[in-house]
Amino acid sequence: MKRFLYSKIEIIVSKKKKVLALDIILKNNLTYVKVLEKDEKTFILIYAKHYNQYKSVFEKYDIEYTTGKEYGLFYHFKKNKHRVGLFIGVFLFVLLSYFSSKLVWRINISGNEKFSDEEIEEILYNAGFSLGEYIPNIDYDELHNKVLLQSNEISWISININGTVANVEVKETLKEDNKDKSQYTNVISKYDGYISSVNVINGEKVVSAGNIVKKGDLLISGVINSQSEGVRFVHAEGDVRAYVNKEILIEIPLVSNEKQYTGKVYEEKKYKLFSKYINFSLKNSNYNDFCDKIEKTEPVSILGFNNLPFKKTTTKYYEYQIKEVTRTKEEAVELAFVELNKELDQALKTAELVSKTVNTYYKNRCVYIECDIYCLETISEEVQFFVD
Amino acid sequence: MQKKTMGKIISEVFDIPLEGISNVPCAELIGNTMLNIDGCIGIKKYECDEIIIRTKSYLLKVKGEKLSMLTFSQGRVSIRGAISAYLIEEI
Repeated sequence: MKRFLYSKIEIIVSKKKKVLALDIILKNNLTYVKVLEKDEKTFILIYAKHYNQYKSVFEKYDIEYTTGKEYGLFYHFKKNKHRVGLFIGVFLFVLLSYFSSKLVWRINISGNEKFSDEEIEEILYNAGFSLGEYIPNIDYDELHNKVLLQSNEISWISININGTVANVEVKETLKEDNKDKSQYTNVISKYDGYISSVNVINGEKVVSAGNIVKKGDLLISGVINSQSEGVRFVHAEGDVRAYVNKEILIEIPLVSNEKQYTGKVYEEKKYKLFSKYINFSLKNSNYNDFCDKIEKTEPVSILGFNNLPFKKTTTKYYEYQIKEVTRTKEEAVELAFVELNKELDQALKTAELVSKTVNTYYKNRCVYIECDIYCLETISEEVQFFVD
Repeated sequence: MQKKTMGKIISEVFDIPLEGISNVPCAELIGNTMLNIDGCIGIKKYECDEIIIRTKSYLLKVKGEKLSMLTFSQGRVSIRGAISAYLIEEI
């Protein structure tokens, strides 16, 4: 390697002058690499930096010489100096090799359960950290603080760089029980209903099974009046279940405006290298008017490497028109029942259905469904109160 | 009998290495493939089977096969090859 890097040059003298030349070299404290003899000539290989010294000594002692081959990196540069592309290529290679090892090429995220990796990356991006980040410039303390200040959902974060991979470990905030037991509360009714059961955890029971209550009525009191302790205030808690009536009304017009797809699909592609986007679409129209958009991002695999910071985003725009649609009565009724079932699912999420009545009728070019449901549901709700 | 120089006398009396106080050449032979010589002031002959080095008071003849010589600084040379004989002649 050393031989390749240092430039060398051959000095050729005749065989007759060999001893004289070497004698002069020795007397003048000059050094050489090698001496070879070939075809009645003596080849003295010297370092190029000593050439001027040899030249002046040989001229001084009138020794005839010629220069031969040149060796070394500098010689190759001189030989190929007209090949600008070669030098640019070598320069770019060195530059890319150096800088690519100083950039973040991958982010590994662990410890997340509620948030997806993409959401954590989004949080990091907002805090100023993403793929392609220049590693020596990262201030880890500042970054950690920024992330924690920006997101209440993350209680701890650690970022460690291993080579060009950033290992991000997060700890999400545990969902706190919203109930602060130190607050004074009453339990009141969310709906009108007929009390089925009262289960008191804390506080004083005000209603019993069989009572009829209205929305807002007190069910369990947080004010306890005792003879021994006097009046005291507590955090009332309990579960009160009651039979409740609910009404659902569905309205489906026979004539309505609906979205209909024309069949035309427009596509846009862009590539993401680290955190920079490169748009490859020729058209740059705004498709957002009367188009539904579906965006899909997937990693680009090059030569089998799937973990490169190179992603392709394909956005498809499905064109639609708003058209007036006329339905028959039967179609409207069918659609109305579909909507009714959806509403029932929503209403009965936390309730048990006891009975329901459904009434369907037609009026003013609309199909109506009235549904009365009688269900058993938890109606208790905690409300805070303050004491001076 | 060899004539004793002042340097030799001082070296013997005070037990000082002779090469430190006198202009005698100092040769170091490593096996039979390398011979390092200090105090060279010239070359008299340079062939692949014989090299004759000139020092201040001596001629050093090195005989062997495929001999080559490298120069360093301050009169130090290194002869490499298959060395078969090393002779010293007083000038």
